[in-house]
Amino acid sequence: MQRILYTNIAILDGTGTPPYPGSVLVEGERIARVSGDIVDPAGAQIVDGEGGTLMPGLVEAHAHLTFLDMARSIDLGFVPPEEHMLRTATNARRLLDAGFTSCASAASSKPRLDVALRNAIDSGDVIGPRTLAASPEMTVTAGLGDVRLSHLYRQNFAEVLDGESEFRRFAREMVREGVDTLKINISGDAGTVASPSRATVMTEAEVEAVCDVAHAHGKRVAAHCRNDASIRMALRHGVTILFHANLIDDARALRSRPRRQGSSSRRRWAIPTRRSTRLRPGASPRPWAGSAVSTGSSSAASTT
Amino acid sequence: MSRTLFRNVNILDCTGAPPYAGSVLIDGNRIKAVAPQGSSIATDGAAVVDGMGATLMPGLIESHSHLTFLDTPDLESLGFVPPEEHILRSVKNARKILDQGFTACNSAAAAKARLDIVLRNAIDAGDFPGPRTRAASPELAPTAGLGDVRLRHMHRETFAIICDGADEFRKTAREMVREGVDTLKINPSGDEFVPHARAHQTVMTEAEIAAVCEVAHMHDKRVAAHCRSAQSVKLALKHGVKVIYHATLVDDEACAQLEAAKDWCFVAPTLGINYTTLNEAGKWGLTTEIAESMGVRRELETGIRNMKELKRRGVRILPGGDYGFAWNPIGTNARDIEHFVNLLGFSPMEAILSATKLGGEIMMLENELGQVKPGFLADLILVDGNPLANVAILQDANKLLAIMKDGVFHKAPTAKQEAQRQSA
Repeated sequence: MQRILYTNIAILDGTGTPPYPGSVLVEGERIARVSGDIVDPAGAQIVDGEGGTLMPGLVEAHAHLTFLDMARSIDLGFVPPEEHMLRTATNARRLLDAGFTSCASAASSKPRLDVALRNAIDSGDVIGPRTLAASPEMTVTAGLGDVRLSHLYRQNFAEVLDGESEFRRFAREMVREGVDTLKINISGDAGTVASPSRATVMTEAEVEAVCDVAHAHGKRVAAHCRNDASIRMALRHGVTILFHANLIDDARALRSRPRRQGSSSRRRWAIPTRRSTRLRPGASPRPWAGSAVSTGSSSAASTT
Repeated sequence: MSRTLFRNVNILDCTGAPPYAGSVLIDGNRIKAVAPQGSSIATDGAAVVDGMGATLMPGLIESHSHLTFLDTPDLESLGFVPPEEHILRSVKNARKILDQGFTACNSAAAAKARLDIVLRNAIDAGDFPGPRTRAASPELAPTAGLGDVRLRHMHRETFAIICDGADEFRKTAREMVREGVDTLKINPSGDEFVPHARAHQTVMTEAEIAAVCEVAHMHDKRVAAHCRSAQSVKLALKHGVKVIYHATLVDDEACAQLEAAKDWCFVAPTLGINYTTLNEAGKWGLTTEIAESMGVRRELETGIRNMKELKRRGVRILPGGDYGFAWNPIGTNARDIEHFVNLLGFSPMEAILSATKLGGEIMMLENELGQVKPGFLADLILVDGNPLANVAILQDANKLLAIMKDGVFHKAPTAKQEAQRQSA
């Protein structure tokens, strides 16, 4: 087993305690010892940190490794799957190079990209962070992500579905393909003319259908929810990751237990992407009491 | 622009001349100067690599590559791989073959329509390491031809696009031209492992062959054809097919036609796949006995006899053995060079020239690739030993002290390697 000993470091251990000097011994893929004292380095490769800070790799809560830094979301649709996969692999390496060792995907821009990427990273074929793979954004006609023209097909990062049975079927397809997370766009967004942020565009039955599938297969649902009604709808059905949540009326909503049986013990996560606060200077930050708040910035996302 | 000087190397320049001691200067992506020992060479600012007597020669060139094949034991397994995984695994193959010293590949078919093209473009853009590649279409084949693995009740795929009639072949050829292939691949004959289209059977019509060739010529593309039967070779030549794969069952008339076309056509027999199918596929249930009952020994022996005749007639014959199957995996491509020596009676020099000088010609870079000459592209390998004494050393990546493609090291010579050589 490979052993690596980090010495002469300040340990920022991520538990909440202030940094302290010490040594960290890694054995194989795990941290074996964290110590304020000298650790026996027998057989270990020694890394002298020279007083640097050793801390956990960064974790991106709202990753879009399959987005391609494009100005317009519709440009994603023009990239064929083969090129898209290769550029995704390049993104994965780039994010790892930046210190992010894990990513919870907030949507894949084509159905299988996240899944194939995660598997290739796990098998060592592609260099990148640990990844929880997501589906594309399941949205409704006229919702965030529906970029079709009436006379011409276009696409970006969304799968456009209407009605409870279409959502259920597509959710099942994505489960079959191997996603960890089903992404739904319950609210609209700035820049989506037909569905602004205050609009709640998925029906209760549609949200419920996706959540049903997720719970049946032990998957997680992540939801694009900007406004209060969309958040409440998500919570009612046990959505565990709320992205944005910037137009919430009363943060106490996040403390309420979801009605759904079996998911009440799950912690819910609200992730206010940076863009949401920047685009909404008038929206006052709310106390996020009772829920975990994580960071994520919708990098590489666009507003078309 | 970066400059590299290889000094103290034994230069196997692949012009046909015997090796000689000297230095080679690389400037940017080209060979700037080749200087035999004793003559001077301007080396200002160049990074110096001391070869310590190792052989410097052109990178190897594969004339029949399948970088998108995945070393599967059957054809239909390829069809089950989705495009996302398929392109990632193709990228891995490209690196693997470059690691083995192959700096250029002439593709003999992609396993899905766009894979070769995307791979070529990604390599050219520098996103992923791999050889120079001429991208091919999948194998355009007729219903019941080599590559039609569909079942009547269920769709299956492999590396083929099934077309019937000149119109369908023409349309598919045009689509592939639009997507950006360099080569259109067709399967005019069958193969011994295809029960409904055997090697001696010619299964595409002349009109179908003509349709694809017409598209290729209109758009300045090249056609490569799977031709085992004599008749398929004749039809291909008649319509200007420049790359004839296999040509194993040629008759006197086909030999004469190939001889007449020797200035513009290439033959690659692909001995590797027949050799390993006959001798090394037992682990996959394909014993020598079964392979013989399929006609593989007859096919190999007839092919060897005919290649000797074609060589006598001056036809350009290139190594490249259909590597990309379970018992004939990608990365072992240099075995074909040894097959040329052992099976076809080529001298080691002749076999190596067919994988370098003739390789440059099949890559359509006749005056730029495959030889160590001033002005040529700097695709080079530094070999620990003398390949002319034993061509098999080219199969051992550990013997490749350095691999350079387009003037850039894919495998840089390390001090450690030099030290090992010194102590050895």
